Amino acid sequence: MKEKFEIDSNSNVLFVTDQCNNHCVMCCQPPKMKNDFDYHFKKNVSLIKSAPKATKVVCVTGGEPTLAGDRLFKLIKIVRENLPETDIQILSNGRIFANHETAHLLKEVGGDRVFVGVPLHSDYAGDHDRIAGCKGAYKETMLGLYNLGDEGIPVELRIVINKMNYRRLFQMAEFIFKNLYFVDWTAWMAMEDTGYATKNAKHIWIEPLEYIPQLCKAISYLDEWNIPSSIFNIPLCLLPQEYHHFAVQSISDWKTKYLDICDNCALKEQCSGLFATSKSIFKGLKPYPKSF
Amino acid sequence: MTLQIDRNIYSDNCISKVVYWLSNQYAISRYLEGKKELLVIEGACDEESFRKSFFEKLNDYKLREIIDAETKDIRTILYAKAFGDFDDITEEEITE
Amino acid sequence: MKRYALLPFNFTRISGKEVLINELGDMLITPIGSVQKIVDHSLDNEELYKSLVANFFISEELLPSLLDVYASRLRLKKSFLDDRTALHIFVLTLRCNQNCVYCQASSREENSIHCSMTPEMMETSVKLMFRSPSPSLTMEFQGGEPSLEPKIIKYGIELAEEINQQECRKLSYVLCSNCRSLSDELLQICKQYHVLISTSLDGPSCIHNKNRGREDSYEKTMAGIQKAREVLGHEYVSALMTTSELALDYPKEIVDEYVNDGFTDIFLRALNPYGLASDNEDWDKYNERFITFYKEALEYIIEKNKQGIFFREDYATIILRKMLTPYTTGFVDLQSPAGTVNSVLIYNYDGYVYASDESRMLAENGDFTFRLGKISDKYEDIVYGEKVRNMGKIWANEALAGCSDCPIRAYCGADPVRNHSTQGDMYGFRPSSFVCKKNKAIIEYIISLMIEREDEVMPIFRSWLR
Repeated sequence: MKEKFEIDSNSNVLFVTDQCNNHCVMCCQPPKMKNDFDYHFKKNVSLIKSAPKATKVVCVTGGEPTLAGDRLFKLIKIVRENLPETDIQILSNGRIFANHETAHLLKEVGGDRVFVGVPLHSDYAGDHDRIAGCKGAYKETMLGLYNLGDEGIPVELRIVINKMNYRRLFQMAEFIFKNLYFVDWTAWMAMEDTGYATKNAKHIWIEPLEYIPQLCKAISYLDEWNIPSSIFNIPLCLLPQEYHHFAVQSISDWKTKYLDICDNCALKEQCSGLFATSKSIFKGLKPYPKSF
Repeated sequence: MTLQIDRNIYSDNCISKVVYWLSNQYAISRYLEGKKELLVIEGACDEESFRKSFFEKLNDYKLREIIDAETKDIRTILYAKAFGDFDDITEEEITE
Repeated sequence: MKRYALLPFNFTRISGKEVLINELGDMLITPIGSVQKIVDHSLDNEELYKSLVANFFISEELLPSLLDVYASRLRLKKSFLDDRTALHIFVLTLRCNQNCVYCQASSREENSIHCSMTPEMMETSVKLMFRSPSPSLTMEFQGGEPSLEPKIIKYGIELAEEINQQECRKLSYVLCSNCRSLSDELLQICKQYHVLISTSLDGPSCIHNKNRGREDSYEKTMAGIQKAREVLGHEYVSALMTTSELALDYPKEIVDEYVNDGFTDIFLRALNPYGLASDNEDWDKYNERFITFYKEALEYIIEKNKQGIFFREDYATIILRKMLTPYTTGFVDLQSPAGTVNSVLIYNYDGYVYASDESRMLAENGDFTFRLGKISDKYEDIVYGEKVRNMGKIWANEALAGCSDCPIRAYCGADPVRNHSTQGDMYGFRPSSFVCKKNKAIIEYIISLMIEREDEVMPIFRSWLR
């Protein structure tokens, strides 16, 4: 975690809590049940106060930051007061926003600066709940998404691709267009091999090479509907060329790693690289020849 | 030609719907004898294909009837939920 | 598989598949026999089961926990109703400078002195238009040939703009013209107020001229289009065609004409049974031939798109919008509840308000069934009057015999005016309805393309909807 925010960084993290009300099977930061709201709140306030005014974006995360209740909204207010030009990304499972007053409150304190990244694991409730490790998660997340949409709060859907959902990537894309048409963009993410992902590898680990075709079909579909999509955490050598422009520099700067063979790759600069924190390395990596 | 239909299996509703769609091409009369219904159809040239087509439609309507019966309530709830908050027109404004 | 309850849906069979369509108009293509298995609770395909749950065909709870989402989506589908009447057609005159064989407007000679709207009538009509609560209002000028009355057009637009200073609606204007006599003055008005010109182009000159009753019609229309494009900009001139009996044999030539003239879309319209056009006796035959014509033209348009030329068929696009997107559509003829009154009102040169464009054509033939009142009547008396309330009982296809249990109901609409004029009563009789036959044939054809040639047509269809 950072000591001081940087203007252009994509990892100016405001870590709110280690607690979570989901138990995702591939969670790379398994939750801890201890009351840590105050501890993090104090740290976050000083981070905000020492941040440069030109800071582009801060990321409110956890665990599940909305569990902090009032303290979360207070924190957002403090960001708005101290860093009026800064966007505020909240990573949340969205369940608390099933209550529309809460969604409304978020709009009030965050104004036009706040946007929410919400994971969706499947179009089918049963699969989503199984992956989220909590029965009823799907329903609350869906209702939360609708309430956020009603409030005009921009929403980013995050789909972490794993063995339990990779077969339905295209159906998920169709579902998103039909039922979550108000969503502002979608992020399709390869797993980080750490935490629960490693622990549950047998049930959930899957190589990108195995799901790239379904992923491309899903992305093409959303692209045809002008729904912006991004691919996170997949090195360019694993993606067909015509999908390279969907890939983004998604891995936090402090945990990006490249292999030795990447030094010979023509596209190393643009590539997201790999998670330094992952236990294993994706199969099929190879450099693009410099003549490319 | 005559068709015999078991009213224990196919309801009046189902039969009526099929007859509705055929009634601009054929003259069809219906007679009920206990639980057996007789349809007398005038104008059907190819009896074999008429019979086949008739029962296909009848079976489809029966399936639809089952779906309809099972989903009647939820459909009402759905429409009530979707459109139930009309507060800009009152009953008094639309006098019968 | 878990226990589940059914949600409302219907089904049909197309191209060797069972096509399931739910209350929202969402479609699932499944193997034959799927519906029986769903109803019997003997489904053996897990992925199909998940799709059925995710897409509101079955529910794992008696009361779906996402009932609010389900209801919200249904509301969105019908949200064309929220705005109330947005399209307001002003029939300025019956005077015309052409003599089209299928004239739906029963037009009169250019120099005839009666049959035109006076400034007083325009003022009353514009004020009546603003009584509609819709946040956006479109004034559409029709006739006869409305460009023969430039002063009334100018007056109407300027009056609307003035009233709008207070009302603050979003105003837009359309001028339906054959483009033969677009004066510089009229074009300047169009430019100033961003008026869209909608013209009629039936196809290449041989077809267009034959239909229009004048040998120079094509030439004059093309010159008019050119002039309008220069003054207003390319995107402010659109064209539609009416498929006369002659046109039925030339689908490709008509599409080529549109492509070559720089249009990016075409509306393949069938003849209406009104005005002079109803002299055409054999409607059954025409209908059959139109369906064939439509399929050939659509096929040719798909080919064009495959060659990299973006070209859209508008009727298919409306249907596709209902099938593939969660959004509502505003096309008056394919709505339930019907587009008449809910989406459109007509202010006629005779000083009366009519329920739809076709309603005033009926009046020209002495049938005043859908004349709703005088333009000077109170708005509430017109739109909530007895005639409209009677229509209201039978204008939703969810509640009509033949329609309510039709599998493709969600993609179709109700048209009480058309039923009345062709079948003698507003309720209508589906088995002998030409509109039903035509719509069913076209909708099922589009679905069959989506099933049989998915990879080929879906990207094209989506590009039409973006």
